[in-house]
Amino acid sequence: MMLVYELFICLLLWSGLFFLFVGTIGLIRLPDLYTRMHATSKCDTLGAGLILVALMFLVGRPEVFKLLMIGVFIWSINPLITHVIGYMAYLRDGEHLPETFFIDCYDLPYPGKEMSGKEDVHA
Amino acid sequence: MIERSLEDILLGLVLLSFLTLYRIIWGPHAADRIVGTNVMMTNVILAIIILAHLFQNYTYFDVAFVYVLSAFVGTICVMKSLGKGKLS
Repeated sequence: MMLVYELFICLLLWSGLFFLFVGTIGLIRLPDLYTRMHATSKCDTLGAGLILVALMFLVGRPEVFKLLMIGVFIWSINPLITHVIGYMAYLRDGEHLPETFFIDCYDLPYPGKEMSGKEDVHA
Repeated sequence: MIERSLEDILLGLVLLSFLTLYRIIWGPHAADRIVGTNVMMTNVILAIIILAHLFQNYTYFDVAFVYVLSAFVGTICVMKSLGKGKLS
């Protein structure tokens, strides 16, 4: 029974490192800022979550809540930072690859907004 | 087995941070460097937590928590100054 427990924790740890590795390979190899963010944000959040869950099994009682607090902050801050980076890169005129298909959701018309484009957002 | 695994995971996190350094140094734009710094931040937080468990000294969890908050505020400030041109 102890062996199964240790194997389970080792599986969680190594799968977390695997997802971090996949995110880093995506960060190095992909050609564009938005695809790099697409690779790193999801893989980073998942890998950090798996390693944190594996360490929650190992530490004692009051330290679990500290780890849970760190985990909640990572899982809420990481997508937020990714969204802010994407929005600021959009404001700084794109940097996406030419001749790629993309949908510009910030430039769509909605009630209360004129179709004026990026200069309206800059002000 | 778990201790040996934790040491190997620690080594792997350091190597992944060195791989991320490529994008931080040679990134074509500023936002690429920010993305690489964000990944490195997560690796350093996990390394601090694993080292705290290996040393059996759980005060380092607070260090990791403060590191999360300071990295978040720093990233938000840099992105705001890049996007708007001023910090306000």
